[in-house]
This record gives sequence, structure tokens and C-alpha cells, in this order.
Amino acid sequence: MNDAVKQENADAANVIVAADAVGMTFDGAHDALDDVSLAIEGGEFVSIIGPSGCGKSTLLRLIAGLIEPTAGTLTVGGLLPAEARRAWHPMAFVFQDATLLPWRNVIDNIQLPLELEGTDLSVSRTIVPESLKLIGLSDADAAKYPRMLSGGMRMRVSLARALVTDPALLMLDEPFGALDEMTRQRLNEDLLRIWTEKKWTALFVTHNVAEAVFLSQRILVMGATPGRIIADVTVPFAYPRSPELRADADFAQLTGEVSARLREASS
Amino acid sequence: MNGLWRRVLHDILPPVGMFLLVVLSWQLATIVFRPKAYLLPSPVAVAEAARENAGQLISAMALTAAAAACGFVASLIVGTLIAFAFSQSRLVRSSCYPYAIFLQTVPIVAIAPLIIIWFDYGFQSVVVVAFIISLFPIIANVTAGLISVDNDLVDLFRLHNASRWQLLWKLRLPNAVPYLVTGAKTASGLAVIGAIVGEFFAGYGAERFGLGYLVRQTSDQLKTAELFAAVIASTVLGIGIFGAASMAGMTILARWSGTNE
Repeated sequence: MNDAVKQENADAANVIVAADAVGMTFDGAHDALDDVSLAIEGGEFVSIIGPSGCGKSTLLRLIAGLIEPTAGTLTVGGLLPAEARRAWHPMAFVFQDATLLPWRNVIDNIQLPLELEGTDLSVSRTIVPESLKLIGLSDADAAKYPRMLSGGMRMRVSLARALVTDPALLMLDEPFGALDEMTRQRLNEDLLRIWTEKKWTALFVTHNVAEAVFLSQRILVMGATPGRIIADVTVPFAYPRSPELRADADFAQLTGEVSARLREASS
Repeated sequence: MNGLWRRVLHDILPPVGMFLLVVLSWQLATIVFRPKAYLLPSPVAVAEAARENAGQLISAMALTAAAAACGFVASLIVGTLIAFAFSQSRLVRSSCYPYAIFLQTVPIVAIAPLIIIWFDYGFQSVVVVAFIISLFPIIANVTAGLISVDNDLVDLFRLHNASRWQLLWKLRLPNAVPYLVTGAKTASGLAVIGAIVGEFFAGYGAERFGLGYLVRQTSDQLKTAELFAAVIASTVLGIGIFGAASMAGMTILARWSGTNE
């Protein structure tokens, strides 16, 4: 479905998200974002980290075309985000809460994006179970309702729902922030496993430095008032990354560096 | 079995005990103080009156129940449609909602004569009163349910290019179901009150009447024991209809969130 677009991106140095001097002001008040420029390549895993109120969620919502910037230009696959969203179906979004529909069971929740986009039911029947399996949910879970699931399980369903459309660009807005550390780490590992297999572009907003370092190839550190990018840190560790990486000395050092940048941003 | 006993002990025994205590004190009071029968009949006298007029009471209850049910169903349908209109436009909502509150605040006793002028004495006027008095909780709750949707979910739907129709059908309407259930419970109790108030004013006549008419007639004639019986029958009807609405609501909610799977 996205082949043509992917090809086009390959021509344009494979940049999928391009922001040039993007600014965002809400109600003419303070600048949520000021002069943000960035280029994200197709298949990259990029984390965005920063203090609260630095506009990281705003940046994601801009890229998703849910809001429009008040300054600068922003393109996704060479198109305005809202156009890109309609022209192809490249985007998926995972929110901080699982945001499942309580009146739908697991399988019907996962199927929702396909329904909205008018995907053939016969196609849905094959890809929904695949997505369920990919994220590590059993057939027994399929018929359960959200209220019967733990927080971690709900987030898995939310991820499966995002992945079911086979997105080119997956945006995650602090998805694991409310989970306990063990669950968070396990979900990080599963997320990376799927990413190495599917290679969508990932934009991952978090305030957890270790999580950002473990997952990403690049970390964008943002500062607040006005929201802006103050550092672009490359993470050199090769994939696949094992859980043991978290105990590595280099890992600890890089985590320390990013934390220091973050402290600068917050002060 | 153990759980059942515990339930009986904690949930059923106390209110039953309280009931017996009140009835017993009442009976004793009538024996000791001997009030005139039209002021305070004894429980035994009330029970007697109820037994003697059982056929009349039951047919009156049935008629009142029918009027309340018609008014309730009408307010479910009309209230949901109005809420739907309110949810579609902020302008419609802000220009009409204050007048919807009018339904809540108007003393029904004050407009009952108007309703009789328009709809004439009889069943239809009673239904209209029950309808008017039970409409507002449906409008208010369903409107809230249609509007108060998680913003992230709206974003999710937009992100996948959902149509307005899909947003309504797959998100707003199902979201409003628990609100509708809450509103319907309140409305069911009010519909019974509305029907009785309606009958009080628009009661039908000597051969065919509901509880409200019976209350008025027995009080006019100072048949206080019969009046008590009619009041108790009204209460039983109210509890019955509220209970039925609550149980229907619980069943719907259980299906809605998969509790009975």
C-alpha cells in the first residue's frame, strides 16, 4: 500500500518527516513550540525526551496532522500531515492511556482502525489475529473485555491496534509511563523485537531516559518555554538489543549524558 | 450457601426488621392513643381496606403503570432524539438547553391544568404529564454521554480518517449507553410520579381510574384507611417500575462491558 510513497521517500534521501522552523502558539499565548527543525528518516527509531510542558506531545500531534502549526512548514512523506493521512494510511498513534473502547472486546478493539479505514472484512479476519499474536496476546485474550485486563495487557492491545494497519510511521506518546518498571521493560523489548522485524518509523515520546536510550537510534532532547530541540543525541548500540544492555557501562554513561542534557533543559 | 446467609443477615434482615418495628409501633400507638380512624387508621385497618378493595387497587395500579410506561417510553425516544440534536451542534445546545431545564424546574402541578385544556381529561393527558416530568433526565444524561468522549479517542478516530457518521455510530452512541441507563432509572421513577399527579388532576371517572384518582377520591371522602392503601400501592408500583428499569439497565450494562461473557 505504501510502496509508492516509500519509493518517493527513497528519492528524497529517505526523509519521512521533515520540519522546517515549525512554531506553535496556542491562543496567542506562550510558544508551545518555537523554531523546531528536524528530519526523520524512514525506518528510524527516534525518541523525544524533555521536561513536561516542552511541547513533545504537541510535536507528535502536529506530525499526526491533528493540529496545524502556526509557523514554519511540516511535511510527512512530502505532503502536509493531514493530506498524508488521507492520501495513504501511514500513521498510527499510541496514547499514554490505552484508550480502548470498553464496549468492545480485545479483537474488536484491534479491528477498529481497519473498520474506520474501510478495510475489507475478509482481510481484517486474517490480519487482526496476526497483530494479536505479534504483540504476544493469546487467543484466549481475544474475547476478553478491557476491564478484565491489567494495565500492561491493555497497553499491549493498544499497541496491537496501532500496528494492525501496518503503519509506516508509528507515534507513541509516553505509552508506558503509567506501567510498573518490569512491565515497561518487557514492553520495550517486545516493541523493539517488532520494530526490527517490521521497520516502521518510530517516534517515541517519553520522560524516561533509560527507556529512550534502550529503544532508539536517536534521541531528541527538548527544552521548555519555548519548546525547542536543544540536542540530537545518537545512540550507537547495535540491534538487536538484549535486556542485558541495560547493565552495560556504556549504556549507563550515555544515560548519564542524556540526563545531564535534560537537566540543562529543565533549569 | 454461606454467602446467601450473610446476604440475608446483612442486606435483607435489617430493612425487614425496621419495617416490622415501624408497623408494630404504629399498631401499638393506635391502640394506646386511639386516634380517630380518619386521622390515623391502624395498620390492620389499612390491610383490611386493601384486602377489601384488592380488585380495585390492582386495576388502578395496572392503569397507572400503563400510563407511566407510555410516558417513560415516549421520553426515552424523544429525549434521546433531542440529546442527539444537542450533541450535533454547540449552537443548538446553548440556545435550547436552558429551556430544557425548564422541564426540570416547572412545577408540574402548575401546568397540569393546561395539559388538560389541551389534551382533555383521560389517559392521554396522564401520559403527557408522565412524559414531561421524565423527559429531562434522559436529555441531560444522553447529551452528556454523547459529548463527554475521551479526546484521545476522538483523535484516534480522526487519525484513521473516520467520517462524522463513524464517529457517532462507533464512538459517541456506545459511549452514551451507561449515561442513558442512569437517566432511564431516574426517569422511570419520575414517570410513575408523573402518572399519579396526572391522574390526580385528569382522573378518568368512576368506572375506569388509576391510583392518582383513587388517592384523590378516598381523601375527599375521608376514607383514610383506603387512602393509605392507595398510597402504599403507589409506592409499590414506583419501586416495581424503578426495579424493573434498574434490572434492565444492569443487563444492558453487563452486555455493554462484557461482564456476562
